[in-house]
Amino acid sequence: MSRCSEEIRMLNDIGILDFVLTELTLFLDTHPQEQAAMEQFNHYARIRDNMTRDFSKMYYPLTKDLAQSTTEWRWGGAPLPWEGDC
Amino acid sequence: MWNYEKRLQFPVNIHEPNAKLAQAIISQFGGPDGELAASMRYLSQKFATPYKEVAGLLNDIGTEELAHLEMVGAIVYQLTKNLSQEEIEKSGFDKYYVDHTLGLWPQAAGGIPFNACEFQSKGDIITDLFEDMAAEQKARTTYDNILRLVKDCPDVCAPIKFLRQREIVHFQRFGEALRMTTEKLDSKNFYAFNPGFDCSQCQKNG
Repeated sequence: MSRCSEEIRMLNDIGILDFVLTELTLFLDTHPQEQAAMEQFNHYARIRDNMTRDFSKMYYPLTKDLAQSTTEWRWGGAPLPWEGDC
Repeated sequence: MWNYEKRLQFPVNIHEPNAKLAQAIISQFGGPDGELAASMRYLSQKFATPYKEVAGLLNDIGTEELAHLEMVGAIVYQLTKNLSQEEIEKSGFDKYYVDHTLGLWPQAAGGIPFNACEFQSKGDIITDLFEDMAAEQKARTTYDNILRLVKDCPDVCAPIKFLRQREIVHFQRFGEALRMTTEKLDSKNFYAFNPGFDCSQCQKNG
């Protein structure tokens, strides 16, 4: 199975954005009053949501919420993440 | 409730099988300081945690540990995927192979099966948070030991380094949760004594 480089690059970017959000979530769990962290969370969450939606349209849905399709069940056809990219 | 996302938290792309490494790394799947124990520890402790901010942190970290379990599983799976019969016998992987073929099964590197006795859920938030901080350090030490074994395999090294760093961040956050917890205790409770059970009993009895 070979996957195009744009798909891999986009998936990688989503991973980076999600990592920022994971870090900010845990930080905000113990620092709920930190306004700057809250603003960063809102900023990166917006970018990530848009990119996840674009990725789902172009390649495959990353979550079942994004699996709506009129023709085929795309959720089941998505590559399994533990298989690696080669 | 959980939602699954069809990607790994950090990419795992291993091109060379190595059954010897797989046998060591599987300890972070189902061993005493592995990701399964970590996840089950926090996701069990959260229920009786008296403060919602701390329970929320346990839930979020316990959830991230599930993503780590999947990463470690992917590493072991990819390290054993294309093994030849000869490699299986030569590397000592035959003892695992005879029971599980190439299936993932939670065990320690020494073959001891996963057991819930590897973690505690004590119903006392002070006790639990100290256990959690110790658990993060034990997992970090295990990743340090793994890194010495995988230093010549960059494909394996990168995700292991990522997982090691997460142990350090979780240790920091649990330390902050412990500070939040002690701040919530009665000012006369300076030994931070059994805040989970006795405090709720005191409140009930007036």
